[in-house]
This record gives sequence, structure tokens and C-alpha cells, in this order.
Amino acid sequence: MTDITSDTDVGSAPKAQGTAYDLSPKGEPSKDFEAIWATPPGWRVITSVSHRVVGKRFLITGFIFFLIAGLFALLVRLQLLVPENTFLDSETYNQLFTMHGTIMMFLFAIPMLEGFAVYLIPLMIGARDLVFPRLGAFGYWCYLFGGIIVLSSFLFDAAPMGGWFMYVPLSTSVYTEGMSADFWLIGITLAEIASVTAAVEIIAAILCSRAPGMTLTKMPILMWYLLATAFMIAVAFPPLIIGSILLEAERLLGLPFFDIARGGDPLLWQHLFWLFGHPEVYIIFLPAAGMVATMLPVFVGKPLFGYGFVVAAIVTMAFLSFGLWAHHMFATGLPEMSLTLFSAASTMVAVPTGVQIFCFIATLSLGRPRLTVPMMFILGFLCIFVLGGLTGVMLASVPFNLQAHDSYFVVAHLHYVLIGGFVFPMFAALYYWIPHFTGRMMSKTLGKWAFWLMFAGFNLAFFMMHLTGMRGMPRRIASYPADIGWDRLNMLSTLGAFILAAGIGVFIWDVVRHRRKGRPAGRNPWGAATLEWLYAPSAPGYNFRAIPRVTSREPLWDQPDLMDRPAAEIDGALRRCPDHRRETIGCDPVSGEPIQILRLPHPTWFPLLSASGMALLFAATLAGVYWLCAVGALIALIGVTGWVWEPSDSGVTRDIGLDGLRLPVNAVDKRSHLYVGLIGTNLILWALFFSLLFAGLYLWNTQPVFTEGTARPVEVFALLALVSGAVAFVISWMTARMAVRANLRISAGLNVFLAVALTATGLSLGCALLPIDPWSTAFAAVGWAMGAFVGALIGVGVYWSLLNALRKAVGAVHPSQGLPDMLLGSFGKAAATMALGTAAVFFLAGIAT
Amino acid sequence: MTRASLAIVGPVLIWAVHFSAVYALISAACAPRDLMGAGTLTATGAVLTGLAAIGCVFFLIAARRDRDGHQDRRWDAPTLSQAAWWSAVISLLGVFANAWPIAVLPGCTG
Repeated sequence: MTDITSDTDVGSAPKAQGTAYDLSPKGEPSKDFEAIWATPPGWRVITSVSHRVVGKRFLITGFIFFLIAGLFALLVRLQLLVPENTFLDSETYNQLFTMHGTIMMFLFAIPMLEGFAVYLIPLMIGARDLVFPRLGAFGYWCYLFGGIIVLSSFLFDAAPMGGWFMYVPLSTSVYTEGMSADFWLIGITLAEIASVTAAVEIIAAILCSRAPGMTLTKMPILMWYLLATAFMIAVAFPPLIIGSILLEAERLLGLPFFDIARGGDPLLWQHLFWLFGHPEVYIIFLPAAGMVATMLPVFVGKPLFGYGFVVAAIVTMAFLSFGLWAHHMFATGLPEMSLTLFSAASTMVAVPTGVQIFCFIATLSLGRPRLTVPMMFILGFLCIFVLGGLTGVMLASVPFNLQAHDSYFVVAHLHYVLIGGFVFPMFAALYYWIPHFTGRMMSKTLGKWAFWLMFAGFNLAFFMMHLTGMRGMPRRIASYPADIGWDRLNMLSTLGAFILAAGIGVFIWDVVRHRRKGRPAGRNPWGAATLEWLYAPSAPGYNFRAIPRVTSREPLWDQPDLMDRPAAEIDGALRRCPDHRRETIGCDPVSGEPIQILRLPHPTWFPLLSASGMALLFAATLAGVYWLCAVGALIALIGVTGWVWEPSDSGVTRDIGLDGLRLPVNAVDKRSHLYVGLIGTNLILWALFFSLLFAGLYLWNTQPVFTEGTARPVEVFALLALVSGAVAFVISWMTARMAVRANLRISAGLNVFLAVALTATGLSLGCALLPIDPWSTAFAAVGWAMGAFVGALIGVGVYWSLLNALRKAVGAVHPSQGLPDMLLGSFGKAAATMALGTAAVFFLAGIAT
Repeated sequence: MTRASLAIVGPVLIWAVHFSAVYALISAACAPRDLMGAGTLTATGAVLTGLAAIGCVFFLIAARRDRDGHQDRRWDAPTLSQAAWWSAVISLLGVFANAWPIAVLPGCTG
């Protein structure tokens, strides 16, 4: 790791400074500071990559999906209004509840939290934008296109109807003909790209772009929640991505991953799905709790009680939530010992959750809370979520779980957790931050109406379901017989659902109304402590004219110099803008001290182009038009190439105008945002790899007869892959080492050697697999899947290596601009290690008799 | 401060490794491949639990020492030490919860 001094040394090479800027003029000298940060006018607004624009896009699109899924829920409730109802046929009913769950979980909850994160993170940590604005925009377009694919299934009369969990064998092509499951698998996988890109974005932004002085413990508590959530997304989403790809491969190509007749196992799907599915609940809940922890102190007028306790609770919840996945599988016949393990872990997670809730209650007791509309929703959250948590502890008990399994009791529990744990905090957050979006306050009277309608409607709808479930009503049935004690409870639930919807209707009316008639918000309308309220809403596009030094966790309460003058006049870093570029401060991940200047991209078409190519690739796969897949892949590749081709900014230093500091631009440093972002990316890749490894080990352990009957890889080629993989690792290591040196010719040579070594590794692995028929057994198919995954990684590595070499050959890179090689080296090491692991597995399987 | 930050994650990482190990042991003993018997499962589980518990207690003591060692309350480390201490306590409880099925059940089917 290099320190600031050495970075300055790098930047102090006069030749590098001059050359880099003369040949790569990305600044816009004709524009002043305001114009540089302005959103492009007219239809070119879609090229905007600003976190404010992208964040609002996520929030608005997510809310529209929420309304669509809510409408489906109302239709479901109408069907259950009376016994033996014929309002909907069974197929439509199945489609509606499937799409309700799918949209709520994948297209509403996660994107909404991403929207809040993308919008709020830079504002709260004192940055001018996220560190990877184009990645955020790319993620949004993938999410939008994925959502459109999933929803468009209704147009083709092919809406998914296998439940939001798509259990096999029901969702295999044997039992679900047509394309309904394909719409789900392909659309959701595309939308998931947004989640994993957001994870990388959030990790790097929070760790690497905080205001000067903002140490980890001076971060707003929401940042801890979002950081933990981002790491959880990075680890939790890969099992689902792998599961979805395996299932789609089974449907499309006939590979037998889950086919029990060929050594597959339907429970493998459940394991992969719930390895994602249970942490998903916490992924949704944690940011919502973080927003509560941000708002609660504002309305109490005191800092959050037990910041350290809450941090401990966040971190432990983030880990423990991964140990609960099989409690969704208690009725599948797992060994008693496994059930007890997961039961114990499910009970344990109540401990950190309880610590956090008690901190909230203790904060409430510190002062006299102001009963604003957001505060009412926070109190609603506390009531509802605690009840949902209590029924969660009940369901963690195996005997009770077996009784309540697949009954309406579970429906009641999950809605208490998800609506209490996410929707109520989300409405609190919307009431709290909408003035920041629009500059106007929403109506307190209408807000109270919205709250009480939602609170009463919710409890009427879902409390009844506890009773319906205890009376034995199963989930997912389209009709039920009369006179068995379910009639009135269902009628009350339906009535409650419509009251809840009325509350949401009042909210929507208020949103529309307040744009014209709402009172101007003014500066810091809630009396908040965090930096996003420093400017009067709507804050300017650059967030901070000068980035202030932060000395407190509640800067607007404790630092009078921030509020005693107009925000634009506050002292801070980067007031000057000599290069006419979008810039923000890059910090040390732990201490928060400035270490570099981050150059940020200006509006660009490349994210949209890349996402459009991806969408075309996915849609053409769905339609079975494979030449069009190639076109889509080519468009995506062109988009990505244009995106990464741009000239490097590193190699110079600038005075930041704070404490006399002169910092490097885009430092070649392991504390830089790019390196931290790559660590996040590698984490995702490792999680994908381990998901496949888990699938292989699971089948090896549970299907010994089929496993033993599977053909073996060729040991010689596996050994060759081991050797070439080791060479690739060594070259990657050397590439990373060379990044801080100036010899372009040698580093370009290393790039080419790395491409060759990786190609040799890929070819060897392919040859090792050749004698194995992937259609013979599920174990064989998983072996091919591992090979394909490593092959894809190798493909990326080869492309990246050659691109780096080409950039040097055409003079697009100059000495001291070593960041791309540092990143390539790190990626190469990860890819080579995974290739080595795969080769080792193949070799061991080959020599085993 | 970096050390204090890592001290929050350390104990819960021990919990994660211990959980994975216990899950792997149970899978090895209770799946059709039948890789080990109940006795081996119990003995291995006990050893792993002991090691994990020692690791958590180590973090617990270190966090306590860190917290008591800082006189200047304006510094960040006390907050991080407090978080690390609680993280160690919760993780220690979690390790014992992981070991519970092996300790109380005589075999895979209860």
C-alpha cells in the first residue's frame, strides 16, 4: 500500500503531469463550476449519471412497481373475499400472487433501498457524487429493462405462476411448459445486475469518498447499515444468480441439475434460493432500520442512544442472517440435527435485532419526541415489526413451524416483517426526504390520514391472517369452501387491504398536491443533524460548493460554522475548479482523511448503450433468437469498451484548498475507490464460485451413486491447467507490482503474457472436460458449469489484458498511470486462483477411482 | 483504529467459520454418503467449538482492554471498542447456539 507521500511522488513527475493532461483533455474549459455539474437539458437528461438523477429514477420506478404489485395483491384479496369465488380462475390467481411477490421483492424493495442509497450517500458523507456514477446509471437501466421483461410476460399470456421462489420441479419445463418461468428467470437475473453493481458502488462510495475528518464512527449511522447491506448483497445474490442460470440451462438445454432421475436434486434449488432469500429479508430490513435510526434522533432532539451497540448489532445481524436459510426448508425432510442447527441460528438472530430495537426505544426515552408524520410511521414500524419478529421466533421453533408451515400464519408473519420492517420506514423516509427532492413540504393533515389508514388497514388485513392460518387455511389457494371458519376472517382481511390501499392513495394525492401547494421547505426543515440538509432544498447538483471538514457525528448540531452562513460560503476542500472537471475528495477508508482527488465522469451514453446490449442479449435468449444474442453481446461490449477506453486522469497533483494539502488525482493506491470497488467485485465473483462449488459438493454428498457413475476429467489436461493457472497468477502478481513503475513496454508485454497464460488455462480446462457428457448426470453438468464460469472469467481477463496492452501501444496511457494494471493484477489473481481451484477439483476427480 | 474496526468483524467471522464447519460436519455425517459417525461428529464439533469460543473470548478481552485503555473520550476508538465487545458477546452466544444440536442430539435423526 502506498502512502500519500509516495502518491505525491508519483504525481510530481513533471513529464507525466504535462503529458497526461495535454493529450487527454477531458475538462470542459468553456463551462463554469455550476454548468459542469448541471443536468443535461431536454431529452439528453437520459445521459445523466448524477446520483441525484439516478437515485430518483430508482425511487420513482420502484414506487411504480410497488403500485403494480399492490394492485395484484388487491385482486388476490378480491378473489378471497368470499368462499368459492369465481372472480379469477386458478391460473390467473397463481400468476397474480407470483408476480405480486416477485415484483415486491425484486423490483420494489431492493431498488427502493438502492434509490435511497444512491441519492443519500454522497449527500450524507460530504461527497459531490458517487464514486462510480456510470455504474449506478448502468445498474438502473438493467433494472428497468429486467423489470419490463418480467412484466411483459402478461402481454404474451405467459406470466410466471410458480411462486416468487420458483421451486423445482414445478418450474422445470416438464411441469411448466411455455415461457412463463423463462420470463421470470431471465428478467430477474437482468434486474439483479443492478443489485450487485449497487453493492460495489455503495461499498466504494462509503469507504472512499467521505468528507475530510469523517472517521468511521463519525459516519451517519445509516452508512453503517448501507455498508453492511452492500456486503450482504455481494454475498447473498450470487447463489440466486447461479441457481437461476442453472435452472434456465435446465429448461433451455435440458441439463439435469435438478432432475432426480439423473442425479439432480430439487432441494439444491431450495438451498441456492434461500441462501439468497433469507439474507434478502435483512438486506431489505437493514437500510430501512438505518433510515429509522437516522430520523429518530431528529424528532427526539438527541443523538442516537448506543451508537456502538447499534454498530455491533448491524455487523452481527449481517453475518447471522446467512445462517438461517434452511429454516424455510424445515418441512423438506432435512435431518433433525440440521433442523436444530438452523433453529438455533434463527433464534440467535433475535439477539442483535433486539439490541438494535432497544437502542431505538432508549433513544425515544431520551427526549420528548415530536409527533411528525415521519415519526408516526416510525412508531408504526416499531409496533408492527416487533410483532413480526415475535412470530418469527415462534416460527424458528421446529415443532411450531411444522404446524404452521404453508399456512396463512406464515403469510401474516412475513408481511408483518416486510411491511413493518420496510414499507412503514420507507414511508417515513419518503415523508422525511421528499422535501429534499422537491423543495416543498408535504401536508401534515394528509400525512396523518395516510398513516392511520395504512396502520389500521394493515393490521386488519394481516392480523386476521394469523387467525386464518391457525384455523388451518393453506397459502396459495384460489378459493376455499364455506362454513369452515375462514369466511369472515378473509372478508376482514380483504377490507383491511383496501383500507391500506386507501392510505397509499392519500399519500399519492399528497405527493401530487404538494408539488404546487406545499409550503417551501427552507433550510434544514426538520432540524436534522446530517449533512444532506446543509443546503436549502433542492440542493444544487454538486451537493457541496466546498466540501467541509467534519468534526462531529452530528455536524449540523455541533459545528456552528456550518449553519451560521449561507451553505455556498462554507470553507472546505475543492472550492477551486482549475481543471473544469467534476471532482470530489477521496479518503482513507478508516480514518476519513483525504488521500486523493477523485475525477468523476460527465454525462455519457455508454451506460445506456451497455445496458441496452445486455437487455437485447437477455431478451433474445428468451425468444430463442440466438444470432440476436450475439448482436446484443457485441453492443454491450462496444459500450463497455467505450466506457473504459477514456484517458486516465492519474499522474498529477492538485492543491485541494484545505489545510494546505496537495493531493494526487486518482491515486495509484490500494486505498483508492477503484481498488476497493474491485475488492467488492472480487467478493461477488468468489461468492458465485463458491455457489457452484457448493452445488457440486452437495450433489457429491447426497447423490453418491450418480456421482460415482459420472465420467472423470482428463488428469493430464487438469494438470496442465494447474500449471498454466499458476503462471497466470504469477504474471498477475507481477502486473500489479509493475503498476507503480513507469515502464510501459514491460507492462504491455506482461499484459500480453497474461492473456496467453489465461487462454492456455481455459483451453486446458476445456480439454479436461471434453470426455464428460454434461447431460449424463447432474454432477457432470455442475462440472461443466464450473468450467463455463471460469471460462467466462478468463474471457474477461483476456479482454482486459489485451485492452490494457492496446492502450499502451496507441499512446493512450502514460507513465505513472498504472491504475488499470493494478486493478487487472488483482482481478487476474482472483481469476487465476478460481481457475486453479477448479483445475485442482478436476485433477482430484480424475485420479479418484 | 483499523485494528479496532477489524475487531468488530473478527468475532462474527469466527462465528461464520464455526457455523459453516458445523453445517459441513452435520452434512458429512447425515447425508447418504455417510462420511463420519456420530462419535467423530461430536468430538470434532467439540474441538471446533472450543477453538471458536477461545477466539471469541480473546476478542472479548481485547475489546474490554481497548475500551478501558482510552482516557480521551473524544477519540473514536472507545465507540469502536464498545461495538467490538458487543460483537464478541453476540458471536460467543452464537457459537454455543451452533454447537447446541451436536451437544444435545444423539444422532442425525434425533
